[in-house]
Parts: sequence; structure tokens; C-alpha cells
Amino acid sequence: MSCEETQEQVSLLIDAELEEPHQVALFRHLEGCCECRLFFDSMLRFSKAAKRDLEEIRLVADDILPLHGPLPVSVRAAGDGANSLPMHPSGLTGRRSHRRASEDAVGALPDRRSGWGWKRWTGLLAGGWRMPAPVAIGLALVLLVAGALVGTRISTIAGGGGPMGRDGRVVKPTVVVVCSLPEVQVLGSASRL
Amino acid sequence: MRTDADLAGAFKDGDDRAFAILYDRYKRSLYVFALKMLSEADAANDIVQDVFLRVYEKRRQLDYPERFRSWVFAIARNRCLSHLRQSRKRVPLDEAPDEAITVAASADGIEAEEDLRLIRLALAELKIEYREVLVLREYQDLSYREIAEITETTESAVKSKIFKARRALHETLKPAFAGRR
Ligand SMILES: [Zn+2]
Repeated sequence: MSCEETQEQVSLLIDAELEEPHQVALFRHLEGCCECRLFFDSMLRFSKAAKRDLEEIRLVADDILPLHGPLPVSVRAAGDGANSLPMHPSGLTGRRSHRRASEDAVGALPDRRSGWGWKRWTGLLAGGWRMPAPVAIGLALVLLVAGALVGTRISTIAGGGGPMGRDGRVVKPTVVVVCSLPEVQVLGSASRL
Repeated sequence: MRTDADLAGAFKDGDDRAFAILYDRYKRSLYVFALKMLSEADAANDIVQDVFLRVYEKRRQLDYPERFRSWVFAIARNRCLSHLRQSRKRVPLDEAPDEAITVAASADGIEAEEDLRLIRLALAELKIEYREVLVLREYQDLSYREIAEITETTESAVKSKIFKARRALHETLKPAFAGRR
């Protein structure tokens, strides 16, 4: 039996598809052929590592994937145990990763899923403000300048000293900008998700 | 425990609870498959949701509920291939990372951890037609017949492709494995 045939049979053996009569000849070849033994050993190591890989990914998957799939809200609420789960404001139930939860909060891309309440409440923001990152950053800067101007205007109206903090220091009225900036930036990046 | 065929049949007839159970039963496996196909966690997650959305929409086309597993993996495979085609349009192939060989050559450390890292890289380097059959076989434990159904080919073609995939994998892993035997 050639090395090519042997390795083909090794592949079948690993998949439990090699009939017993062939196994005798296979192992006889393996005893005397270093190259085929290397192949066999490699594939066994691969299989073993793949099993570990599988287990690790499945654990991560539990943490990442929504507890319930793209189901209508009514079905999730009535489904197997779903009614005991806290409802996310987006209409989704169950555990979600921090990243995904924050996506919901700031608005991910509207897609076909939104018809079933998927991230629906953020749809307005996401749908109306979907833009490439450079445009988003530009808009953020415009808002920053506008916020600063408004702040200066408020300061002037308030008597030039500006609003005072508890400790008596002047608090720059940039709160409007601070709120707007992350929203626009995240929306910009959401277009790549 | 209700069988897949039972659940799939009920789901086809409009039982949404059966769908919820099937989702819970398959979401991890499909995520593993998509992740191995695409090497992108976010994309894999999106594919899982998209697959189940399609499953829901196409439930009336589920002619053989007893073959639900093949059916759902076939949908996942098509979504992954479509995603890869789109990605290829965005990223020229010559810019694709090529780290497996260099990382493998410098590998040392705890054996099992290293093996894990090496096989992940080696698998990601495989041609997609090899990667898909190997993942379906080694990670999903599917039979040749099921893999043939999913990849729309014959069992003997699957057998041959899995062998070629293993040979290609061996060529990539050989230097690293030989250095740490
Ligand atoms: Zn040989």
C-alpha cells in the first residue's frame, strides 16, 4: 500500500469510516513508515485540539449570543422560560455581552430584524443618523463648537461668571456637547458592524 | 427530550415554541461553524441571527423535518460564503494576514495551549472548500452524508475533500509539530 493510500485510510480511520479488514494493513504500513506516522499523529493532535477549541468557543457563544433568537416579542414572552427573564429596553430578553448591550443602547444598524422589535427603539437614531465615521466626527466637531458657543452665550447672560459648581469653581457649560459627542461617534462606527 | 425532527415538524406547522427550542439547541453549533468559517466573532454572531431569521421565514420550505440539521447548516454555509465573497470585495486577497507559518515556527510553551493556537491558525489558513468540510466533520461531528447534503456534493467527494484538507493541514502544522514532538 502506498503512502498516499495509507494516509487516505488514516483519514477514514479518524472518522471511524474504515472497515476492520483494512485496518490491519494500515497499521502494518504505519509501523514501518515514519512519514505516515507523522501524518497520523498530526491529525490526532488536530482532532484533540479541535475538541478543546469547540468547547471553548461554545462557552464564549453562551455569553455572546442572545438567549432568544430573532423571535417576535410575543413569542419570547410566552416561550420556554422567557417570561421570567428581564426585558431589555430594546425588546430583547436575556443575557447579552456588554458590547452588544451598549450597541442596543446607542442604536445599531436597522435591518430586517427590526421588523420583529430587534433593536427597534433605537431604530430612529440609527436609521436617521446612519453615516460614515469621517462625517460623524465632522458633525461631532461642529456640535462641539456650537456647544461651546452656546455655553459662552449662557455664561454671558448669566453674568459673565458662568454657572458655579458646588465647590464654587466655574463649571464650563459643555454638558450638551458631552452628551452629543459619544452618540455620534458610536453611530459612526456602528455602520461598520 | 423532543427530537429535532419532531420540533422541526411542529415549527413548520407554526409552533413558535419549537422554534425557540431549536434556536437554543443549535445557536452554539452554528456560531462555532460561522466563527471557524469567517474568523470574525461579530460576523459569526450576526450570521447566527440571520440564519434563524431565514429559518423562520423559510419554514414552509422545510420538506424533510428529519433533516433539519443539514438544512440549517446549509443555510449557515450559504450565508458564510456570501459574507466571504463580500469581504473579498472589500479586502484584496494580497492584504490578507499570513501569520500562521511564522507563528507556528516560533511556537513553544504549554503543549495543549500551543496546539490549540496552532490549529486555529492553520485552519484559518486553509482554502475555504477544505475548511468547511473539516469544520463540519471535526467540530460538528457530522456524517459524510450530512456534509454532502450541506455542501451539495456526493459522499465520495466529501471523503476525498476531507482527506485533502487534512493533508493541507498537515503540511502547515508539520514544522511546528515536528519541532515540539
Ligand atoms: Zn507511508
